[in-house]
Amino acid sequence: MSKQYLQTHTIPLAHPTDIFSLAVTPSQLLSASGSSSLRIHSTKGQIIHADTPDDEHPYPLVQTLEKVHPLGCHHICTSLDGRTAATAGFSGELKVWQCSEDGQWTAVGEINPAEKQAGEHWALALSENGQYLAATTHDGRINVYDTRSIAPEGTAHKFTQYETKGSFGMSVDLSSNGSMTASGHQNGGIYIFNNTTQRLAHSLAGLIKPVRSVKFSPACRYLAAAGDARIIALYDTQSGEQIANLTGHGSWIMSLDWNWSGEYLLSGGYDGKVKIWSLERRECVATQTESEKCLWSVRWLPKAASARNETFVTGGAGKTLAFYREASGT
Amino acid sequence: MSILLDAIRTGQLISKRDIYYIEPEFFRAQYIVNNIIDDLACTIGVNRGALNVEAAGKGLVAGNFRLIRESQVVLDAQSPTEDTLIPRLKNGDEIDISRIRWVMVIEKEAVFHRLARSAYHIRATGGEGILVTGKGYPDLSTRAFLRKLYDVASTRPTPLRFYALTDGDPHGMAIMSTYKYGSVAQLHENARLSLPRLQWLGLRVSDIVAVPDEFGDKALCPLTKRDRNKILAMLQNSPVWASDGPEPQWRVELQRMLMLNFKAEIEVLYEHTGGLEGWIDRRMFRQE
Repeated sequence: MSKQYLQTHTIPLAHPTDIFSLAVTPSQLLSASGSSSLRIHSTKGQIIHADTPDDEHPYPLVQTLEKVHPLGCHHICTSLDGRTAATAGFSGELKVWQCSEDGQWTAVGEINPAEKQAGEHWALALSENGQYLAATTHDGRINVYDTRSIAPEGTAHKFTQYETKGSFGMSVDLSSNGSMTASGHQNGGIYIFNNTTQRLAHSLAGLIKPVRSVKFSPACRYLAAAGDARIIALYDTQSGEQIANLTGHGSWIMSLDWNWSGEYLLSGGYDGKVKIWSLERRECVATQTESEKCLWSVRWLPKAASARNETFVTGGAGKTLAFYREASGT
Repeated sequence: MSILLDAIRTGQLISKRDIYYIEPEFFRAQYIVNNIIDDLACTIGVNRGALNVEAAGKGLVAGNFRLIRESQVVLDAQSPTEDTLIPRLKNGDEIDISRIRWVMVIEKEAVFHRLARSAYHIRATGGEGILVTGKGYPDLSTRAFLRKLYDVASTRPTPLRFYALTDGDPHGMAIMSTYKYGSVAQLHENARLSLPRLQWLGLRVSDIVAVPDEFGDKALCPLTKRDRNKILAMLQNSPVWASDGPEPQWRVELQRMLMLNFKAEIEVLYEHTGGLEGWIDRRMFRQE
């Protein structure tokens, strides 16, 4: 039995150029693009039945952070508690942000690469409370910084540094319980590190092409990984065993996200298709196409207690933020 | 020989190409001039430079057009088998491009030869055209020649399309930028020699990634650290690639290249169904 999703809202030209990365908090959507600004939209999503359609703005723009990354921003991430965010610019600079009670973001500080390593920091992930920031590098390292130690001169204490075989680190994730770091690399390598012992726990086989997204399931039991091989590989994080391959994408997979319950995976492809996968049935249960333009990032919105149906959002080369909700009754 | 004597006496430098164009009907072909010069130099026992013969510009051209100087046709570049060197233009030169619909600027010499040998400039579905290569970064002669085509075409009612065909990598894109906007080293020449309507035909990395089944696994190469640093330098330093600059599509393509971490060479299109020529035909049609 498949699920039905409907596109409920779009924000065209949300950015003047490709939207490269999305991140969510319980009440907001943060988006980053090839332009130098970050945009924050509210996702409280109260559909007010106003007098005219123009007055219905379920996702209003609430803040723009201008001139943050001069060459554009390729990764943005948030802590699970929604209070910390981190962004990485194409020049290699990392910025850390915090959110106030009233939903406004301000800069905490910056972590700059050493001069000869310009452009070094790539994929980002924050720990549940925002204290630890994991960042991959071009030569396959994963630096984990303590965000509470950022100094005015643009440095931060490095909690640890994980080394791999030197292939470009394209993706990274931190498990919600803080115990594991995972990374995906251009040569197909996937690694899980134990953050307590600070050693490699698993080197996962199965994908031989670039791994563009790695994501721990909410309960930390599984790791999903996907990329140019066009399949989503599922691993047991304790044993390192590959337990499933989800097939169906016709193009490179650029982004993955687990829903709040861990029952569904969301994936976005280079061909513009977004797919929803059932973990239980190990298959695709819905596909949506906004356009054939690349989707760089797809995210579930955190489930509001009152909402019955889940919403997800996509962003990519179409410069549009597109929101979809499961159709009622399915 | 008297030409060479003149050059030496006056201390002027002259190129083999210049010599040919002084009396093209007499010399009949460029290679004849080249051989005479080399024989003379050899017989006298000096190198070519001592005869005041300098290296000529390096650009090549193929196409059904004619260069007319002092009422004589001095250049006919139709032959698919012989390279035609781009001439240094003189005031008063006229170019007859009445049959030409497009001009393609090609980054690499090998690709130029491939297209010239298959007579693409005559057989393209988009009509007859002119192929030009500067063999990498174009010299001033090549840019002046292209600008002349542009200026002549501006007086026509039907527009002349200008395309750039480069590798999908930062080097190719930087070369394309030099053709269109000029180089940092020759700032004072830039406005005079720019090619305002030059459009990027390809090859973009995104073109290859979009159709993953059409090309094999070897179609794309990972970017090197040097490639990435070059892209960053371009994004950072040049007004052409700035976010508020004249080419937002070029800029985003550089960013996409960093995201994908791949580059693509034109040669992957050789294996494509329809080959390089078929791909260009389709792309030209779509971009019209």
